[in-house]
Amino acid sequence: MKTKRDRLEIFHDMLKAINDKNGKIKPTHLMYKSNLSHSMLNEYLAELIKRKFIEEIETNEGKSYVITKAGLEYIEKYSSIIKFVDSFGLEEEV
Amino acid sequence: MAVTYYFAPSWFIIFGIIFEALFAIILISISLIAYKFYRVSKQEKLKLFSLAFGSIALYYLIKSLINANLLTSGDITRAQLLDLGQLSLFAHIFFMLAGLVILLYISLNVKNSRLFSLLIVIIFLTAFISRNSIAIFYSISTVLLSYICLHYYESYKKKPQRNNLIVFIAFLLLLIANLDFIFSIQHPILTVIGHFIEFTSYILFLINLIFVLKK
Repeated sequence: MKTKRDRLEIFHDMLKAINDKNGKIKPTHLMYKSNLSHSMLNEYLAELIKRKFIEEIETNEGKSYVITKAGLEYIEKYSSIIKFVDSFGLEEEV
Repeated sequence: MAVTYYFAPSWFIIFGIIFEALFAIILISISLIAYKFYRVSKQEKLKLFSLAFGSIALYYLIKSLINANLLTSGDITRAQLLDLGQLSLFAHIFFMLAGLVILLYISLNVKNSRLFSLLIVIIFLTAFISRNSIAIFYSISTVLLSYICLHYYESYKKKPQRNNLIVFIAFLLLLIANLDFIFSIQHPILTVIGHFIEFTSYILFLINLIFVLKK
């Protein structure tokens, strides 16, 4: 069963993939880098946009995603957040 | 002899006040860190957890302030004493039980506002209509803590890591302290023992927080 811990990890992996590409990535690249199916990718992208961790932009080459300041802060604090969530049993069921 | 809200030997009263102020500081620190992490991650449970620990911190803070006030007020009337006693009791009912209900709700892993409201109503009704209030409140707290402990035990079994064990033991000690407080009316020395158990528990929470924040 998927838990929020998995989700937090996936958020981290996706944001890190965007950040490693100079803060901007195409959905196909992101799907490959984060190892997600198309439908899962869309679900997580929607969640990342909702949490204001990324923004969707339209370019001549199609859709791209850019990491926000909040997304960068999430990457920075991820390790402490995970330790806190784990130790206090705050994982959420999906 | 000074009069305070709880049943304790007079030599311990000042220590009790210091202990409770200390518990409040530890709980506020954990609550603030949880809220900070919520703001970064937008993880709902972190917000609820922050609220729960903040609520329990308020309980200790109010109790400590009221007892400190009673200790320093030499010419307090009986009516004022009863008012302060009622206020402290209300703080116990509201903030402590609210905090524990939120923790229980988090541990149940169900997103259901009706279940949450049902828990709140049943627990608060029982608490308010009971006559032997203090014993009833500690009994309810003990029941809630038993379920919370079970959650942390399962959490530790699932992920047998040092931090999970620390948190489980901390909640287990809180449960033992609450059990102890149920009988403190008959034996005031149990209040002293209970405070030392609580102290150990909150120190463990603090140790876990330090481990979490350590790079």
